[in-house]
Amino acid sequence: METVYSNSKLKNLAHEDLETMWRFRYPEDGGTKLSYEAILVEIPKLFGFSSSLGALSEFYRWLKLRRRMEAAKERADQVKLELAKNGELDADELERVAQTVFTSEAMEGGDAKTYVALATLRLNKRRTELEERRIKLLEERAAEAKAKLEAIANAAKSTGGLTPETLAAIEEAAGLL
Amino acid sequence: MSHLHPFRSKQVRRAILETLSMAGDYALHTTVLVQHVDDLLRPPLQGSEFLDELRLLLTSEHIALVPEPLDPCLKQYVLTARGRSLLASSL
Repeated sequence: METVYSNSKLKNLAHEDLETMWRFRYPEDGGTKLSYEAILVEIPKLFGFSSSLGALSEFYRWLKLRRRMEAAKERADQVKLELAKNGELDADELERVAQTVFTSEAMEGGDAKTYVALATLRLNKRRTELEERRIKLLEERAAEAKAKLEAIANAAKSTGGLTPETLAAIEEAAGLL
Repeated sequence: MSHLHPFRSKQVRRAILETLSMAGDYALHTTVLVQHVDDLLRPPLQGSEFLDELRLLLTSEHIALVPEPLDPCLKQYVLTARGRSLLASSL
């Protein structure tokens, strides 16, 4: 959803016009970088309104950040799509990885590779913890079932033979496994 | 209530909201958010400006805290629909 900026006609320009404004300051090969003063002359001709040096300076700081964020979002979305094709990660994990990629791409300076490696380590650690907890739960259930079966077997020995009630109890204990 | 000059307070709040709006559906960690807000502002952030305004925006639900399941110590934020409306209004 596109954001509307109440305080700035420049920030509300259409995507192509934002690109034009960007190229004024960051021209492609062979182009000439325009000064703020020269851009102030172009703005009324192109867009029908005037601006000021202060507003233009603020606008270009905003535009630089916006472009960085757009690139970060695109990269994160790409990674999510690629990983989704493998089918190894569930939806939550895909979102977390995408968020990690976005964060590292959005950081100014810093070591993005290290950040991603660290986040991957954390993810693996979390998966290991969950697996260990699952195994522990299974072991507890198995121990509980074993104890119940032993109790049933002892009861069966003392009364002689398996009654229907004993069989039902055995089935219930086996259901814990 | 912010103890900053109202104009500066509005400036800092706007910078926080604008930065979060650029992230779309992705959240921004505090350290990344403060870096970018500082870059947007002239003069740059000073003292507790950032934290004061961040707290106000959280309280007023213009931004929301998003849990980071892998590291609960890390705080990350997103813009709410309310925050988006505020950006589009007279802020």
